[in-house]
Amino acid sequence: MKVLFVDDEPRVLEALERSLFQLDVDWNVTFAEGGQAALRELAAARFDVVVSDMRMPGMDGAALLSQVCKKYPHVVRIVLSGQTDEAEAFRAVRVAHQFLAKPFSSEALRQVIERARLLMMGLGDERLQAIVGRLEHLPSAPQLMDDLTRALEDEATTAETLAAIVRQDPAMSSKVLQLVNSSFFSNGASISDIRAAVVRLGTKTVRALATRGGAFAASTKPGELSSASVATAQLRSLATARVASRIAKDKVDPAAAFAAGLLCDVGELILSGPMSHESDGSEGEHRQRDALKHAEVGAFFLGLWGLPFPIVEAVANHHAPSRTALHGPGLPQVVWLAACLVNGNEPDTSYLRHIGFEGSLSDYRAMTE
Amino acid sequence: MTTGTVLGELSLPELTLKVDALERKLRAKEKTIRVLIQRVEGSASEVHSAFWVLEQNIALEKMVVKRTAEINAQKEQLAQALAELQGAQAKLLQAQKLEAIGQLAAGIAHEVNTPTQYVSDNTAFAKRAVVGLIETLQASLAVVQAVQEGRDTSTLIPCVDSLLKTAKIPYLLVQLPRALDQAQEGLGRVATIVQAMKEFSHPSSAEKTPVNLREAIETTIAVARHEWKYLADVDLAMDPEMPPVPVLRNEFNQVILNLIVNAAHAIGGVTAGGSEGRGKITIAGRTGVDSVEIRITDTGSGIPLHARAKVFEPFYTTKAVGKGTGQGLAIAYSVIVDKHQGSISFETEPGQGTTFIITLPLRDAGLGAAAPAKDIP
Repeated sequence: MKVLFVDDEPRVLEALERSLFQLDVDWNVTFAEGGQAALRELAAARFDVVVSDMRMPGMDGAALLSQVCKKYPHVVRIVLSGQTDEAEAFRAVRVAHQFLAKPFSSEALRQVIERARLLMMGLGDERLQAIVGRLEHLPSAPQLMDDLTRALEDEATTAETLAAIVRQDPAMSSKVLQLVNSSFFSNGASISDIRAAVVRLGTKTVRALATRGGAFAASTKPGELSSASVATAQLRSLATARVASRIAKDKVDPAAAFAAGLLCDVGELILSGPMSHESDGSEGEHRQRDALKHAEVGAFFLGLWGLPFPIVEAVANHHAPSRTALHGPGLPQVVWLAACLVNGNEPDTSYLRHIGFEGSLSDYRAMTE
Repeated sequence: MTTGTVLGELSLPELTLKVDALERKLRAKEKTIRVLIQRVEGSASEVHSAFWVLEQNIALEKMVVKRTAEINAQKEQLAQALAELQGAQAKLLQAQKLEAIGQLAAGIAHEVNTPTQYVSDNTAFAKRAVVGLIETLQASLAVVQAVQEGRDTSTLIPCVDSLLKTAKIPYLLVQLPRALDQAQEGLGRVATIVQAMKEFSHPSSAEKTPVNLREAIETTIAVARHEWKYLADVDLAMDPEMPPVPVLRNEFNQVILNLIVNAAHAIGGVTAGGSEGRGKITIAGRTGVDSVEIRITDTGSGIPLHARAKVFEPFYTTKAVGKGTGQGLAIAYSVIVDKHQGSISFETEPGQGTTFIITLPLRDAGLGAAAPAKDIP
């Protein structure tokens, strides 16, 4: 794996180099002083991760990363910025996958990059990686987008009101969780509760995200999913979220189960979107093959955006929870059961008992009502 | 920031209008009295009966008493409006100062966070390095001790060897001193910016004190570093012989800050925010016979013809919403001209840049900082 670090302050790079050498990372590291130098490195070799400062003379971090997004969409884009100004930070929201605030310890940075590596290995498909890497946001359900816009127009809207809208929509929720789990917006707290995430960001930030950050949008472009299919997917996700949080009661955190249930099918949203731009007629073939990987794609997407690991794990394994190391009634099992019930699939009752779901299937079915 | 809310009930332009209207009324009343007096004088020159004159006089006196009362009431109103106006100006100055500090705060945080990043990386590196060095040292000492005691060292040597390898000693010998140097340098940078911020915002007395302008300007340049460093280089060329100049330190700093920030914005405007080359801000100071001159030159776009006459007017701005309240230069004018009896002007060349020229008297004209309100002319 090759990682490129970009900063206009050579001392930042030098210190990082020392720390990473000492931490014995087994990836290849390269350092570039500024945006132009970074683009030269990227043209010369294949990189997997770029970690860039925001404010730099000449080409700044936002400009660099938007170039990287266009030319090398498979590259994981991480901002490491000393800025505290949120207005400036919104420039990064569209072009970066994760936002880290300086000072950020090199050990924590190693973890972030290691995690990105594991995600890439887990997906193991560079074409899909590029499709996900390019995404600025997922399509929101049009009705909820209208609700959000209207709520934001009202100066008196509270964070609770916004949260009630956001938590119904996988697209908005994924964006909000992405921001709130980045060290820039919340000092790196790990937050799975969508309501808490919105409250923590506050109305001002959510408003700025919607207006200046361009972080939320309903599907409108041609070639994208139709509004109707986004709305259908959203309703099914919301149903899964609700059932998951009911099942979760006294097994796992219901708020995390709600989020994982809501987000478990984001892979489908991504894969049925405007996708790859292949013109060689292989698109149909790809679509069929990719459909089998939607859980992996969804998990890669959520992991790339820095969502808490339990959610990523649950989404990755919600079709086959027995694959996880967890053998009790954990988050993957809860989401799996909720998805089975909502989609009308028959869950394996012996596995259910094996992992410790005591109730009968009809009890669980009652929760979908 | 909307200035209307800062000033309470009336905004500054509204207050100015109110004062103007009151002054006009007052002049009209005075004119009425003059006409009346002239009429009485004219009448007196004619021959009238004593009774008629008395009657006229009583009527006139009544009129004068009434008018005087009215005038007094209006004078009071005027004085009150003037007091409000002065209060508003003071608030405005404070508001603009807060705005400037708020704007600076984000930049200063960035200026502190960057060195903090490499100070922490370097110290974390040094800490882990020292752990490895100590282990190696202890293993080596064990060998020394074994040799001294004539014991067998064949089992100890490989242990030292492997520690030497894992601790990456040759690498540490080169990098450890550098890491510590840079950590120290980074802390120095943090200390400098904190010190400059402290000096910049240190409350100065309400009276003028002799200030070394070079030091004051250096502090302001340091505080505003984040505002210019991505856009321009700053050159400071002050006459080394310049004596201390009596100024209100805070107000003077704020003027220089406003001018530096304006210069940086002007340069940002012609370099696409720094992505197309860098500009230059030159600050030069000269000593004259009884005054000093400070010139702040930028390589920005220059001031367009239509804006030149309005540059020092309050609420005039050509900047985008949120980029300035149009107070910076109005306040510079008020500070330099009204409070220091100096002058401020500019020379500008479209496409070349702008120079603001400040002169300050070397001797305090004696009015002091808390100069009494000017009498109504």
